[in-house]
Amino acid sequence: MINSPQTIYVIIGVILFTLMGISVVIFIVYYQRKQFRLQLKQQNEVQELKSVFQKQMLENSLEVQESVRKNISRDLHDEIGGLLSATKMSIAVLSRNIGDNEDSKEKISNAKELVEEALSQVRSLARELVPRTLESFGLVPAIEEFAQKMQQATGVKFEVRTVDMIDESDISPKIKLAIYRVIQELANNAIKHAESSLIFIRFLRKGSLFRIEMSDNGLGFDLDKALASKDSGLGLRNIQSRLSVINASYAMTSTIGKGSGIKIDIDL
Amino acid sequence: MVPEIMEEMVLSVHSIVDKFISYINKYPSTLIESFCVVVPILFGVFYLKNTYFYLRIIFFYCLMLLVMDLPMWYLAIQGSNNYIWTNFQEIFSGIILIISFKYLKEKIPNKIIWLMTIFLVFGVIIGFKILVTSSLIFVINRIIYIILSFIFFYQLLNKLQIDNLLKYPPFWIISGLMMYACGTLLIFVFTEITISYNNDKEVFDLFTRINDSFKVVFMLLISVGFWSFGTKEI
Repeated sequence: MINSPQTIYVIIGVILFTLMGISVVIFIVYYQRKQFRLQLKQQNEVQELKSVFQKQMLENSLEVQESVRKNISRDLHDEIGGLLSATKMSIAVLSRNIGDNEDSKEKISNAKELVEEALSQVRSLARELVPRTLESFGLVPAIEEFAQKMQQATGVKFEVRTVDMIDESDISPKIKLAIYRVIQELANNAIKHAESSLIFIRFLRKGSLFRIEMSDNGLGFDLDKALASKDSGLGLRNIQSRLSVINASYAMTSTIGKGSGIKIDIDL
Repeated sequence: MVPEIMEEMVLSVHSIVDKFISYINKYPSTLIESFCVVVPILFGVFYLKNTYFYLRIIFFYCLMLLVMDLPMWYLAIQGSNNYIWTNFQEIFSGIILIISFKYLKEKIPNKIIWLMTIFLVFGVIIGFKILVTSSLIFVINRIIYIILSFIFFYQLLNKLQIDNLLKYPPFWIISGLMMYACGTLLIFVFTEITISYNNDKEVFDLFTRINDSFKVVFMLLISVGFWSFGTKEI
């Protein structure tokens, strides 16, 4: 009999067991998704922490680098520069006391010239290591000074342009220094490796956006290859590190035979 | 002479068709239960190119069901008892499905596989029958399926290697197997009052239909598993 108690009990049992099976499957899907999301969230948090830590390490490393530069610059200027100045003065005293010996006079004069040259080089090196114009007058004047010096030293033409007046009051010294170093590195690359004859730098300020554009008419290069290369990629990776520390976004382009360019955007 | 033989053959075919139709009229769900296995086989043929071993085993399982159903149909149409084939089919199903768990990504310990196999062999030794359903084998198989499915789900949650379960074929297949085992366990535990041939026809038909429906669901979920292999997540 279909409606006998035994049959009904079995049917209820079948329904209960089936519901149990379905519940287990639904629970598995729900729990797995929940656990997976949790795991993913944890992984993202760890990744974020790692990235913050790496950035901090990078920042510290760059700070140490700048501090070492400052120390070297100060030592060069004060210690070596001082010694060379003292040597120059001693030579001057010696030249007055030497008498009429023409041969000795000429040798002393040569020595004096050499010491003056060394002193000039040491001072120039000390200035290059720490851009004092950057600290005293700001990024654009420092870049203009740098461009002028490079133009004089290498013969490569530099064009530095600013769209309207650039207000640097709210740009932190850290950002200014990073941009200065990046432009320095890119200019050196353009002159040394790309054999450029013209380097163009443009600054633009629009509200909180600070944009720097730089391009050259050099040989250009394969960006992916350069980044992968251990030697040539070092400079580019250094640029990337500096830009990542100041949260700048950038786009680098390069065409072989047509030069390279970079556009850096910083949201202040 | 030849026309007589032809006439006899035609009569014989007619008689088989008549018996087949009468059998289907008597047990309509059996036809669906028996031939629903064609669906996963077709899905398998279309989607299981370069598949991994677990899915091959499941595909082989479906083929085995189809092949072993053929003599059962023949005997049923002849009006002969075919329970021996049903019992053999259940034993082979148990062996194949237990082995299939060994080839899952979520490794089921060998000890458990062996233990389950011994459990099944024990059931076969003491519970094999020829003329009626070997309900003990059916019950043991279902308990084994439920235990192995739970272990699989535990390993799945423990390892958390799969991004999306719904694109993971073994999940569908084992979910289907567990539902099939859960839904039909009590039917075989209480064979005497459910699908025993001596029972009231209404009761027999009801539980046969329930059993057949669970098999159809299982086969459909295997098909979904094969289909989801198309969006690979091994």
